[in-house]
Amino acid sequence: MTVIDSPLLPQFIPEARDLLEQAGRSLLLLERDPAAAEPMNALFRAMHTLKGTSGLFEIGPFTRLVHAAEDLLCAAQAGRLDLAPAHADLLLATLDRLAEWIESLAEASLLPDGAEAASADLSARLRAHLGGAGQGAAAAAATAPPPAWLAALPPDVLAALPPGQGFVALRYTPDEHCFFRGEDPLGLVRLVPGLAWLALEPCAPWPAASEIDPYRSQLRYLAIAAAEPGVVEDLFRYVPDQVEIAALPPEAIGPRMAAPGAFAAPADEVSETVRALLAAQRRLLEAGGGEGAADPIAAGRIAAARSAIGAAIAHAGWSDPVPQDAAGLLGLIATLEARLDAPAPLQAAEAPETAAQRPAGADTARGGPATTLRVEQAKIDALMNLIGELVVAKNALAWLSRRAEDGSLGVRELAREIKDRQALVSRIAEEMQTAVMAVRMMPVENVFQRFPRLVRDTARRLDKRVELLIEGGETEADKTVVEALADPLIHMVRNSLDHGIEPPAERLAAGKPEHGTLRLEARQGNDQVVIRVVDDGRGLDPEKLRRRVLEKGLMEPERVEALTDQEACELIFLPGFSTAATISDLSGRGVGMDVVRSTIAKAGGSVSLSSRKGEGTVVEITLPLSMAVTRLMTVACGERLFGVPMGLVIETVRVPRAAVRRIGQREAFVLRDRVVPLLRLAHLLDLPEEDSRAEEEAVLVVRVGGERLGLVVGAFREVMEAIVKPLEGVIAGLPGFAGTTLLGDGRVLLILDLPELVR
Amino acid sequence: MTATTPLALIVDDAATIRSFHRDTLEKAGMRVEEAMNGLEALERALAAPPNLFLVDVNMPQMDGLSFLRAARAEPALAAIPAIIVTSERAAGDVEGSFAAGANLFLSKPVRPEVLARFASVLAGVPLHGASA
Repeated sequence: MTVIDSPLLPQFIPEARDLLEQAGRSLLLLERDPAAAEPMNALFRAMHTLKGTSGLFEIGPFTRLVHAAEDLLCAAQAGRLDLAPAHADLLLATLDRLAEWIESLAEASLLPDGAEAASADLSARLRAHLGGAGQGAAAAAATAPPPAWLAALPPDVLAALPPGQGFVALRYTPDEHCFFRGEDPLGLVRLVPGLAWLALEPCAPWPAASEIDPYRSQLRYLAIAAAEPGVVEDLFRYVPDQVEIAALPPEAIGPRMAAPGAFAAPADEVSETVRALLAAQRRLLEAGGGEGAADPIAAGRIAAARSAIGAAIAHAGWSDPVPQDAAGLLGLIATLEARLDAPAPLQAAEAPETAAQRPAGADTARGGPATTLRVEQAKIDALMNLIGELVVAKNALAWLSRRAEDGSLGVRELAREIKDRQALVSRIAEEMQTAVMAVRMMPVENVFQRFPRLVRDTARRLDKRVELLIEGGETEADKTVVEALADPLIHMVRNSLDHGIEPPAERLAAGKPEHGTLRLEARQGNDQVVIRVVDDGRGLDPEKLRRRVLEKGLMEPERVEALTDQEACELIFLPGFSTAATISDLSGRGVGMDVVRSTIAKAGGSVSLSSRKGEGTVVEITLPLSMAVTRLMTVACGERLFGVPMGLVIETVRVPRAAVRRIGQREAFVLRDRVVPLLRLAHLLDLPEEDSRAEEEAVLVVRVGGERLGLVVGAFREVMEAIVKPLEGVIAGLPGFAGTTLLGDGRVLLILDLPELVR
Repeated sequence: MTATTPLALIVDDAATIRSFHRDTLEKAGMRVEEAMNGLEALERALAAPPNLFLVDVNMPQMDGLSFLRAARAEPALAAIPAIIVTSERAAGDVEGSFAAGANLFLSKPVRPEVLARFASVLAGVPLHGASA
């Protein structure tokens, strides 16, 4: 495979990714509602655009595969083919393969090994749905000497073909009774891979309109295609007697350069250009000619043809006047063509123009792939305005410092002025922070969009009927948050499909609709994104879960007994737990819900679950809107300060020492009639116990893993917004801490990783 | 480049194709503007009539042929030469393009030197930089 060295490739890759994604989405919509026009058009357009653009690069297998898919879609769009699940599977496989190739192009600027074979295989399977039944042997047509019709192909068409590629020309004269046999000659011709040009001509001069028999085929098809003659022969294997196929000799392709003609005739390249333009203007003038004065754009066509003919005349160095009407223009074209023909054009096949240089190698140096962020213009504009304000505010400070220097302001006045400026700068800083965060925001749709495909494929493999409903895809969250969501969500959705939603028969027996419903919902809460995965499957059985936990010895029996049904459902988050007796290949893979929980917790969020036996399960993920800025509660423990993400904090309470109960080895207290276990931060961190004689304990009530906990701290300090940096370097693996941030006085604040600490 | 440098309007929904055409035409000595569909092209053309249209066929919102018909019906734009550059290849598409008022029909992918040559002639770029 050749390495693609085009400065346009980096632009093509994201465009192609978008198109493939769009095509995949449309295909799934279409599968649900095969009659829907909009997804069909969107799908077709995506493949069409992809074909057109991929043609810019030398990635033949890619372009040919897109072309085959487009042909199938074209047939479906025209109603010649009903899209069946088998077609959808094939098209999805095609999209997958194309996506794989795009990634290969992104990484190595070339298609992977075997792309040629894979393309041929998939294309053949796509075309098999079009070509009719059977795979008869290809008609072994002997290559005849170049026939006369080959020499009569229009030169402007040949000139426009890219040289260095094999082209085949064909002349197809369908039997005049072909329509009665259900043949579709035009449809057949359009199936020719790599079709580069197609023209129709009457087999015989047209009779008077009243004589024409519309039930007879009276056309001949001339075509040029970038394809192997064998492939084309195969396509026409049912009508071998009606088609002539010949490979175009290489010297016939590409622009012709010739020695300057004799006399005052223009140089050959010029004359070819002029000839092609004149021929095109004739077609323009003759197009729609039958409609006469009723044609609203007839005058426009004439005006357009006049300017093009004028341009051609100027290019040839002539000075003929250009008439106003169509008849006069057609006459002029005939005159000019005769003039071009006068000195016989010399047929000299030379190398194509030397001007065919690659675009200058200014930016051939390619760095590693950069991560990009697509941003709405409005968001950048908002940021730009704020920068403008900041510049003004900065200038005001300069003015203020001059006033302070020359002593024209009293201390009191100066203080007031500084305070005013400070207020202004801090407002701008806040707004800039908001604006920059907005730039990093992206809709959760970006993660959700992979699920229609995943649910479809998984449900098919499990033989289940599942309808996926997505709500709130437009909800936005920070890029890192949205990305952190992807893996846990996939796991949970697989879980629902695998263990939650029952097979159709079981559902019917339980009096439920045959189709299970899986809902993915996103909404924005206060500073948080809430994602819910809701299924109407068999739900979790708290008794079974309790038994299983006991069998596996994951928890002491008395604690298990004390659990409410709701709490028992959350047992599936315990490390080492797996509900299915046998791990299926879907949700198994050695990853449990405990990994989901810890992944979400790492992103500063939490997961909870509720389920009713026989009715379904709801898993709720709460994530901070942004991981960049976190609201922290600072707490003191002895001399030291620690941060706790506000997302985990439920409330702060002061508990009288007398109210703290000892239960076995543990401590607890009663908060609004509920027993809340108590842990001491100093213990958890192995710090010396504080010798406090205070009457009350400062208790931070937090929610960790769906459970409420009281955390005894030395003292509560302020709530702050901070940019949390992950732990790096030698302390990267330090358990119990989620990251660090800088305090106003320059000290480093350690952020506690509570789920890890209390484990 | 001066304001008298011919202006071409590229109408295509695929950004990579627009870049390719832009490179080609700029190297041929033209100024270039871009539009992503027929509707946008019509707006741009009416605001500043170009010397040449380079138009794709299959585009969202307003396709290339509808755009051409609209341009040909509009006295200010009717005489501006137009090249259809498309990956549609059926005979019907060629006829349809001329009926809509195209001056030339080229198939994608078009070779840069072919496009440059036809575009320069139709837009009236002075040959070899020789100014009249």
